[in-house]
Amino acid sequence: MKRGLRRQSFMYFVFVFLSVLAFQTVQAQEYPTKPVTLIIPLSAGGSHDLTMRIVQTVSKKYLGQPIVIVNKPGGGGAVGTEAVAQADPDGYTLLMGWPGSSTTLPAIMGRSKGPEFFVPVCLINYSSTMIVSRSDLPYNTFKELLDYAKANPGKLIFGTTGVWGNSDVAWKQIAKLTGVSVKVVPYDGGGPTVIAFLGDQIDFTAMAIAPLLPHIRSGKLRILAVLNDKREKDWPDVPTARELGIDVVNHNWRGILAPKGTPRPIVEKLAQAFKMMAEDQSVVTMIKEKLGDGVYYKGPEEFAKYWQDEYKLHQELGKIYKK
Amino acid sequence: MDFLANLGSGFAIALTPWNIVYCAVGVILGTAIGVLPGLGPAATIALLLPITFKIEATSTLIMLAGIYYGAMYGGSTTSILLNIPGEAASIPTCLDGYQMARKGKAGRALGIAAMGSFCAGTIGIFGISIIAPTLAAFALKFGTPEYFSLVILGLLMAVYLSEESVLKGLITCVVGLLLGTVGIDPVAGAQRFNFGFSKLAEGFDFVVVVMGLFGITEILCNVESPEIREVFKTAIKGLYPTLEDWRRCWASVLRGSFIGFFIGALPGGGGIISSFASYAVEKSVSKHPEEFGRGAIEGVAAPESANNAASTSSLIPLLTLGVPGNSTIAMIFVAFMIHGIQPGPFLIKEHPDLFWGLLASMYIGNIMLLGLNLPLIGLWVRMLKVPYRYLAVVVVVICVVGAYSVSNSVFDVGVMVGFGVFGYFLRKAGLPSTPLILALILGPMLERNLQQSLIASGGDLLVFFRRPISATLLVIAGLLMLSPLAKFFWRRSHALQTSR
Repeated sequence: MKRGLRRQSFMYFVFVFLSVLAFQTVQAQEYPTKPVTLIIPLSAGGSHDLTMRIVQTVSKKYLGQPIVIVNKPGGGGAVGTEAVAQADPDGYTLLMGWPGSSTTLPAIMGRSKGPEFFVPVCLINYSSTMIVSRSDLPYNTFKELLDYAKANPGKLIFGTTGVWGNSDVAWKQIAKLTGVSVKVVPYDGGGPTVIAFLGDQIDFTAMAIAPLLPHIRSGKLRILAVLNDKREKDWPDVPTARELGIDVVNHNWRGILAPKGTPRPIVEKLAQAFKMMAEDQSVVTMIKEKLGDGVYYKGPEEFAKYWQDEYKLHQELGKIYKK
Repeated sequence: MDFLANLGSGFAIALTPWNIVYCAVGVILGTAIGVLPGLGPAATIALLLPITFKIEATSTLIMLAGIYYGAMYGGSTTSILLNIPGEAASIPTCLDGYQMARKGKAGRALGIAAMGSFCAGTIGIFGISIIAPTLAAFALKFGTPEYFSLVILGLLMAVYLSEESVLKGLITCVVGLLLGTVGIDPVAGAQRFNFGFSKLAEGFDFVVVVMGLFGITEILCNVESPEIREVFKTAIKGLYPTLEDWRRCWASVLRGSFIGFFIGALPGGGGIISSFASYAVEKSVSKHPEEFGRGAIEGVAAPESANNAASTSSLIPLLTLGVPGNSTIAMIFVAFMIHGIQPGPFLIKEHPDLFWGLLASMYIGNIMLLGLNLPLIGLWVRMLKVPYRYLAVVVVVICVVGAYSVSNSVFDVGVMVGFGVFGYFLRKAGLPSTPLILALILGPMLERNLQQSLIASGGDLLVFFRRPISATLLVIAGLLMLSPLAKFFWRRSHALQTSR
C-alpha cells in the first residue's frame, strides 16, 4: 500500500514534469500569443525611445504580435529597470537596456539592476561618442588638446551631460589612461551642455554630435576624435581615439533585455524577430534618416559579452573615481 | 520691408487648407491637455512624434507648436476654476484667479486671461519676427553665475513683493529649498534623502506636488467649511471682462508681456520666473496692493500675459541657436531632427518657408485660440454651478489621474496626497505655499548653478560679482532685502515730520 502510494506519487511527479516540459515547448512554439510589452526606462521622445518606436513599427510582421511600448521613467532609468527585473520571465515583458541604467548605475552606484538580473536578447544599435571642442582654442587635434591640458593642468573645462552619464564616463576613461586633469562641470542633460558650449562656458565635451551639427558647420565647434573602433562614415577625416594611441571606446547603446529565467527558446525566437525587425529596410532607412544612426545588430551571445566587458570596465572606473 | 514680404510669404504657407487644419488640431489638442493637469504638452508631443514621421515638416511643426502655446492658454482654466495650476507658470494665476471665481467673477477672470494671453502671444510673435537673433545672443551671455543670481532674485521677489508677511514667506521658501534637495546630488551623483525609493532619485515631480498643495489642500479646506459652497452658487454677473476691467488691466497686460518676452527667452526656468516676477511687479506698482490675493484682476492679467509671451519667446533659442530651453521645446526640437532639419543659425536662411510659415501660423493659431476660448467661458462657468460635493469628487479624480499619468506610477499619487495634507496644515498655520513651490522648482537650479560656477572658478565666490549681469542681479536682490528697512526709516521720519 505504502509502496503503491510512493509509486503513484512518483508517476504523478513524472507526469507533472513531462507536462511542464511539453507545455514549455508548446509555449515556445506558440509564443507569442498576446502583445509583448517593451518597457523603456526613460521618458518618451529621446533617441532611445524613438529608435525603439521605429523598430516597433514592423513588430507584428516579424513577431506575429504587436509590441506595446510603455515608458517608465524615473531614477535615471532605475525604476523601469527594476520593474522588469521583477516581472514574470515569460517573454511578455521586456526591457530596453542602455548604458546608463543597465551598466553604470548598477556597476558604480549599486542601484538599478545589472547583467545578473537579465538575459540579454540582442543589441539593436548605438550612437558613437565624439570629442568636440571650441575651435578658437590653441590646439587643432585631440593629441594637441591633451598636450595643452597636460601643460596647463586644471585650466580647460570639460562639460558633461550629467554625473556618470555617457560623456562623464568617456572623460574618466580618457583621464584614467592619460592622467590628464581638467575641470569637469556636469550639466543637466544634452541641451544645457550645448548652451554652455555656445556661451563659451565650457571648452570641450564628449557626446553624440547630432545636436551640435549646425555649430560644427558654422565653424564655432570642431570634432577632434571619435570614441569608436572604426571611423564614422559621415566623418572620414576624424580619427578614432584608438588610432591616436588612446584605447577608449564609448557607445551609447540600445539593447533588448528579458528578465532572468526567460526560457531559452523564447529568447532565441525574440532575438530572431528583433534581428528581422531592426534590419527591415524601412526601419534601417528611418533610423538613418530621422536619427542619423546605423543598425548594428548583435545576437544574444555576442551582446552578452559586449555588455559584460562594459560592466567590468565601469566597475573599475567606479573604484578609481567614485567619491 | 523684407520683414513684411517674408511674413507675407509665411502667411501664404500657413493659410493653405491643410496647414489651417493642422494648426486647428494643434491648438484644440493643446487647450484640452492644458485644461487637464498631468499629461503636459511635453508628453503629448512625445506620444504624437511617431505619427508625424509621415506628415510634411512645416505642417508637423505648425501642429506641435500649436499644442505648445495652446496648452499655455488652457492652463489658466483649471487654475481659475479649481485652484489646480495646469503647469508651473500658471501658479500665480491661481492666487487671484481662484479668489475671483469664488466671488462669482470666474467669467471675467477667464476672459481677461484669454484676452491677455492673446495680446501677449501677438506681442511675442511680433518680437520673434524682429529681434530673435539679438535676444538669442543676449540669452547666451547667461552663464551659470547669472542663472544663480537670477534664481536668488526670483525667489526674493516672490517673498518680498508678493507675500503679506515676509517672515512667513521666507520660512516656506526655505522649506521648499530643503525639499528641492531630495534626489541625486548634481555633482557627486550621490543619493540624498530618498529613503531608498528609486522613485525619489530624481526628486519630487513638481506637477505632483502642485496638484497636492493646491488642488487637494483646497478640497480639504472646503470640506471643512461648508458655507464656502454658497459662494459658487451666487449669480455670475458679467460673463466677460467689463470696460472698467480693461481700464485697470491694459498696462498690466503690457508689462506682463514684456517681462515674459525677455525673461522667457532664457533657456531653463525663464517661463516660471517671468510669471512670478510679473505678479510681484504688478503688486508693487498697484495703487491697491491689498486687493492682491483676494481677487485682483491685475493679478490674473499680468502672469497670464507673461507666461504666454514667455512660451512664444522660449522658441527663440531653439530657432536661432538650435538649443531647446525646456522639456516641451526639446520635443519640438526632436520633431525638427526627425524631419532632417537642423534648427539653428542656418534655419532662417536654409528653410525660410518653414520659419516664416511657422511664425505666420502662430498669428493664426492665436486668433483661433481666442475664438475657441471665449465661447467656452460660458460652459466653464456653468460647471461651477455644480454643487461642490460633486465638483470636489471630480477634482479629486482629475488630480489622481493627473498624478498617475506623470510617470504611470501610484507612488506619485501617494506623494500628491501627502502634499495635500501638508498643505492643509500650512494653511491652518497661515503659511503661504507659493514660495514653497517656487523654491522647490528653482532650488535644484540654484544648487546646480552654484556648484557649476564654483567648479569653473576654482572655488572663488567673487565670480558672482565679477560678471556684470550677475552682479547687477545680486545688487537688485540686496536692495530688495533692504527695502523693509528703508520703508521703516521713511515711515519714522514721516511720522516725526507730521508730529512736529
